[in-house]
Amino acid sequence: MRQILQVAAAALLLTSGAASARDQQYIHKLTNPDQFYQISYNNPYECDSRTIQGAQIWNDTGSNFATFHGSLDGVYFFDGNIVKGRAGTQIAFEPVGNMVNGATAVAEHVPGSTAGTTTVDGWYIYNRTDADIRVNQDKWAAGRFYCDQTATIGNQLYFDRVIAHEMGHVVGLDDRSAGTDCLMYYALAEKAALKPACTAEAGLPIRLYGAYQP
Amino acid sequence: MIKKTLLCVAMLAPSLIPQTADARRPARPPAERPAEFRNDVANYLKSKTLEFAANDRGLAAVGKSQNFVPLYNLLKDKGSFGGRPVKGKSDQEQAAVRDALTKTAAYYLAATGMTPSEVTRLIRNGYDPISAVERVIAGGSTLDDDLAVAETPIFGKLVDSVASGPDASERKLTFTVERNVKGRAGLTEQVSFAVTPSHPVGSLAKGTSCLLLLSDTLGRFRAASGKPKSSTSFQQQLEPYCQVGAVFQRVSSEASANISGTELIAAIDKMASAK
Repeated sequence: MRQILQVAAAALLLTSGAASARDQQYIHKLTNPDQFYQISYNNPYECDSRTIQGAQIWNDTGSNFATFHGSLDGVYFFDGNIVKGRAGTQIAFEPVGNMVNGATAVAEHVPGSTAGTTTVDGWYIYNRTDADIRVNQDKWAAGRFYCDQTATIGNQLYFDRVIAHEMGHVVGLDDRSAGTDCLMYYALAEKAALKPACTAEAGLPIRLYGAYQP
Repeated sequence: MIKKTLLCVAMLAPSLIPQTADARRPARPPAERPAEFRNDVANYLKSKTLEFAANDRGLAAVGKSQNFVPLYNLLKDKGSFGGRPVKGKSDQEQAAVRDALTKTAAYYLAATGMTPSEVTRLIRNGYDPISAVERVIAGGSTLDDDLAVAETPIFGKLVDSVASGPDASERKLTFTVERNVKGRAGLTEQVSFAVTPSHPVGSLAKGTSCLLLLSDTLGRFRAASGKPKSSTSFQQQLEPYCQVGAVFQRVSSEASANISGTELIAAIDKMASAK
């Protein structure tokens, strides 16, 4: 194995990094015209405003995909650019033992049912009718997330940026291996505040969902 | 799957949602939760009670129940999570949250095949799995932490990556087994596991070298306790360390320090030589 790693190290400059084959392309397109986004009540109340801010960042990318939050009859939800309503994307906290990607995972995006396939920009993608976000609730309990806007930030992860990244997957975008300022950069650093989508990723929802038409 | 686990999530009737064609329509009044859903710590502790009951069923189903209490006692004796800024507005609330996190860590260890005797063996070889699992749960774990806690660490190269699972809802990855770090029997040529399709490990190029941190006990435990799991027998217990340019990094949604190939080899050698 030592030899393998030495050979690998010798070829380092020729490698392109962890993410290359599908870098910053699409993983799916939401096609359900009845999509809405719902915050589960098992999410911490103190995180709600950051959850909303993180989800709504995709409203500013110029595409027809937009999020919105509100309440009707005491039910607390987001909805998408096309309203009506059925079981859609939910943002919910899950215990560390439920994170399919591993106990160190901060959050993960779980796609819903497949309606078919289509091609955007020559790429093969899955049509999805819904999608969920799971956030690691034990990391919240242990103080890993910065949610409370009256608190002082420590070595924590801004919760709105965590949600913005996962909502980017809900929109259909893959991770980026370059561009640390982009929301879809694959790794989230501590104290990384929420920023608008970078130029490169702002164009992708338009290519999936079309430009916003007032 | 997730919808079954949600607490107190009301279903929206289609007729309740107003129709509009304007994607940038003005915001409705800010949503407010009913008061009974605003006590975060109480909600957390309530959900943990339900989770622990399911965990007990899962451990019993995989024959690991006997390991929970000894592991919990080891964690408690160590004062686990005592230095963390845990949630809670009073000392009493914080103590309850710390205890819930301690139980979470004990269940996690038991559900991934850890035993009290394995803890003893690891400590004898210079590891501290009790402190390590706290960092795994709360954040900030190191490579040595992850190796100590992982049931089946494997070093290998990615040979296949395909969409799989019901409705292509996951990505199945197959790696060569070039180093079976803890010597698990039956793992000699290849190993497969699945992740969610958006996880960055799914974007790895074929030929990428990784240290995988897998568990099959975890898959059986999850199946028995009704928890989300991937379709493969091996689950990703912890996110892997993969070659990224000149270094190895944990391929995770959380940024981690770079590790040189030399450091990775040394860590693997140390674990493999533990007696």
